[in-house]
Amino acid sequence: MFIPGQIITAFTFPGVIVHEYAHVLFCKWRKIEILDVSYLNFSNDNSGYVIHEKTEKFADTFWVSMGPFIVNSILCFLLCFSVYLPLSYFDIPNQLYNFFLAWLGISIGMHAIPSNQDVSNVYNAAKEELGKGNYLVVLCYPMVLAVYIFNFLRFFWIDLIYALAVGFGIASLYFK
Amino acid sequence: MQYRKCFSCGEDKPQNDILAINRELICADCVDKKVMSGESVDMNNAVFEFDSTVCSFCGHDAGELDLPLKASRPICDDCTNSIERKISPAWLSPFLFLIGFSIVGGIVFNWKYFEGYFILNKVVENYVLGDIESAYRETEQLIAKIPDSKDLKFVNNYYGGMYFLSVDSSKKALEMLNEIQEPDDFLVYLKNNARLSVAFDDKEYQTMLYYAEEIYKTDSSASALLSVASANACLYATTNDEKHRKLAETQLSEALLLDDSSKSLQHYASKIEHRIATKRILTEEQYVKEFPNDWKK
Repeated sequence: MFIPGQIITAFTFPGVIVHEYAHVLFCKWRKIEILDVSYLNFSNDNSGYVIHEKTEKFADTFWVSMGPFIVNSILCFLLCFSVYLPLSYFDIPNQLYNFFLAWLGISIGMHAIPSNQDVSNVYNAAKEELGKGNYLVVLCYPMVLAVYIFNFLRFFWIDLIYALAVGFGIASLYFK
Repeated sequence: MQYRKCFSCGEDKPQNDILAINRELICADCVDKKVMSGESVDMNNAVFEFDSTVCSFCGHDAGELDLPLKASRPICDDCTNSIERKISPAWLSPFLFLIGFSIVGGIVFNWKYFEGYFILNKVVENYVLGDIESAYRETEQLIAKIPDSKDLKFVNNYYGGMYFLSVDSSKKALEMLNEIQEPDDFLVYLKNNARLSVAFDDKEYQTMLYYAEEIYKTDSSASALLSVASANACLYATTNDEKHRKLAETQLSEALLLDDSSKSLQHYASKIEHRIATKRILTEEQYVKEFPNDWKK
């Protein structure tokens, strides 16, 4: 089912904010100057952005681009893990607070995967690094491809499937 | 603002309008003119250097003062503050606090379910070990912790039913088993066992026979056959009907042919033999009290 991006952004806004904040957090960690930030907007092009200075090292580009994947996935897991038992395992009805936690966790998880812009930065940096003879960077090519495919499959709600897998799938494997 | 002399037109121009091409300073106007007139300009070797006294973000002129750099670009205080406010807006800390609070709150709020999960594991462990009483007591603990779970009520009633059956509190067992909405074969078996025991307690031996036969339809063990023999023995003791005596004796010997190794079965068989021989119907308690080493012919 196709739902306009702005509506998804509105329903999952905490995830957008956390995604951009993860970029900011990793920029600060890598000591990269930030020039502009929008944590949330409803434009056609993007739902948020972080503009930072040009990075010199491949590792900086990699970590700044992958920041949301790490932060959003961890938060999604932490928020949903405690909710799994009452909502799914014990099937407790009328759990307003837990439904709120589940919504928050899934919203954040849905924005864990880096954008195409994020991975194109990694791809370009990897190409430059390859030119310098660092052949290890080819290891990130499959990841770049996977992210492109993932972003293409957003139309089929793969972002929601990913969030459910991280949020509840892992918990269901533990609480058998 | 700093000025530089253009090598081409000789005029003093703001530094931000000047490029250094092959070490010669040239203003943007002259570069445009050269490009328009078709003259070649070596832009590959053009270097631009920010005027350190002009903010590269808003154009603010700081006069003679060198501005601090951000990402190798001069920046004024206002722009620095503006970017900082964008990076850390006033609502961001409360928002992040809310997420942190939600995580911690979720764990605290749902802690009883984590405890419940581990108790439930112990329940299953005890059941597998055959300790039905502990399993039932633990489900009672669970219900006290998590009273609104239908699944746990189901588990509590199931284990409760089994436990009360095992201690001959059949009415209580039946009460708990009747609470279970979802029927399954084992539940029907347990319920029939409870009804059989209730019928014995209420001295309704025809009903007792009916449920004993119902159980025997799905469970062809020696114990199930002894239950049918027991019901027939009760009917013989109360009605004096020879048909029931014969049936009881036949079923008794058939059951012992199936299995005579277990002590509990031998005890049960001896109780039925006593019932047929004396036409006295004793409860388990009365029988054990009177014949601690079982009745012998």
